[in-house]
Amino acid sequence: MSRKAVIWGSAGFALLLFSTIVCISLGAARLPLSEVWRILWHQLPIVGDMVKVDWAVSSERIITMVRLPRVVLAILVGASLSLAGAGFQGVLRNPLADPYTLGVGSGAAVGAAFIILFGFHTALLGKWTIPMVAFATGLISLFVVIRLANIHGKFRLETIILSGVVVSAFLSSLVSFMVSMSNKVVNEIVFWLMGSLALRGWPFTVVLIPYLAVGMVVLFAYSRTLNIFALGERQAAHLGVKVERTRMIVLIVSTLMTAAAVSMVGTIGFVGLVVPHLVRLMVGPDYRLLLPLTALFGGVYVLWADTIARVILSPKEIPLGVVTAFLGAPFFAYLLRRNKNMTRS
Amino acid sequence: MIQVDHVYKKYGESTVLDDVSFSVMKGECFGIIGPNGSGKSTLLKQLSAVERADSGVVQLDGKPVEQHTRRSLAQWLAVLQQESLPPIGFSVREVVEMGRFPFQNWLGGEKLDVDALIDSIIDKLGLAELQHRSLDQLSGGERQRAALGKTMAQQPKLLMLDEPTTYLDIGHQIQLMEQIRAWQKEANMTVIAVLHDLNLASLYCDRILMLNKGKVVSIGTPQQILNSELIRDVYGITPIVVDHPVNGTPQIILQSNIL
Repeated sequence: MSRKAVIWGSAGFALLLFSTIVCISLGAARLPLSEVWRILWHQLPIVGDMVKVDWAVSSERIITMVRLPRVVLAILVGASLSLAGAGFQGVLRNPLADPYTLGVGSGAAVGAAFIILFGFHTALLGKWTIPMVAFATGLISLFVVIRLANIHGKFRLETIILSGVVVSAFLSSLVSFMVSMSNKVVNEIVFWLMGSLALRGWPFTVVLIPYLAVGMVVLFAYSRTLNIFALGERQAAHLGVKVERTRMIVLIVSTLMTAAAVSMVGTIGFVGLVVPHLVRLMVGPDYRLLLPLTALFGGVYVLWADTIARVILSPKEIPLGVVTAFLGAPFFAYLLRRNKNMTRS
Repeated sequence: MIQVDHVYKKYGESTVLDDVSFSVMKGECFGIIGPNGSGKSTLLKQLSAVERADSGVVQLDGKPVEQHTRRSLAQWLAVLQQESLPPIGFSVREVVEMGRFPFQNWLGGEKLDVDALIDSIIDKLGLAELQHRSLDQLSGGERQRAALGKTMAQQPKLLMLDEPTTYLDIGHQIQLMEQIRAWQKEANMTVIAVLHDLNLASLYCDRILMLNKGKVVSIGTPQQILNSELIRDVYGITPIVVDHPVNGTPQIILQSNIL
């Protein structure tokens, strides 16, 4: 397992670095790869002075002020949503679980939209207000979904997704209602709802980091327990796992990461579904390996999705949520079918 | 070893366990039988501390069950369930190793030489060829054997069987019970077995508790419990009971009235 970890880990990092440079170079103003590389290198402390400055100031401006924060934000959002997806799947033992299909994304969106629309952006907690409110509403909707799906202490695979869809539909209409009430900021909200990383800048990127860090630490600490969870809840209890507590903690931190990502960039569906499954296909079900690689490849995935979103119809930008849904929804259909086949045989 | 005193349990309005008392001695194989809905599985849930009794005391290892932590219980008792492990992507070897979970620190380390233990278990159960296959590629019988391997890795003092032979054919049933019996003798382990099949219970258990509608009907050796009157009263059928030609335990022959 440690050899596997080294191989896949370094492959993942290499891919992430490569993707970062390529995605920075792409855009309305094409910047050559070598220049991107040297400008990035130049930003590093101490070793940064090794490269000679031979580029236009505007290029450096574009990279450090516009593209780099966006790229980093995409990576953080991808890592957060993918990790959240893996957490939900592990603890609910449901391969179809994802922040989006569970209604957590919409739940977080309601809270965030409320704050944005009524202009409480910085009430109480400063720039942390939106994520915290989104977290609260996301958590509430998650428990409503679980409550709905829970029949006599058991929930079936599809039931929980169905409740997720129902709750999602209700919450989305709530958001639409709020949007129609106010006409000042409609455009901003609508675009945010569909998911976008445009014009966010460093302040947004920085806010996401502590949430992701907390989520990573907690989930990584639970990776061995999540392996045991795969055997079933009763088996896990017989192996000494505190089932209720584990489930609660993992659900809460997964929701926290979802809420942070959603409040920054809106609802971006299916990332938490696609990435953990692809990583599982590559390295198997062991969460000790699965979780770190999910974070890594999740970053790469959303980075490319966002690059497609801003480049493909340039100068027009499509919402990121549209791109991820285009990729993710067929994948969801595939998983649904495969699970049906598996439970039948 | 295990002391159960006046345990009651209700689900909603219906009483599932009604004043159940018994004790199990170290090293014996104690069978629990009874018709569907008699409360066998519920009783096992109280014993393994998955559920809490409404009243009464379950003592394990000289201490009321609720005073044990989940972890210390898992170091002491293992449960082999009716439904075998789910078809997941972990390999047989990885799953057997999961039995060490209650003994490991949070990084997965422990003092014992785990690899040697796992090797010996895999060898004993004839899982060597399957050990690197994942569970989703195995048959039900093979998965149940992997589950047994996992409980063996737990090295419990007490093993609870929750109708583990239900979904197995007779070949795999006997194979599983023989492996458990051999292990029990070797480790001087206590076994509490909820079994559906009266003949299996008679073959493998030292003492049997018969449960009906949540009440203890009788406790005793297979010879004392498996007679046609008691079976008629509890199951509503009248079978023929004969002695096993080789070892003398009572065996049941079913009969049909429509021939």
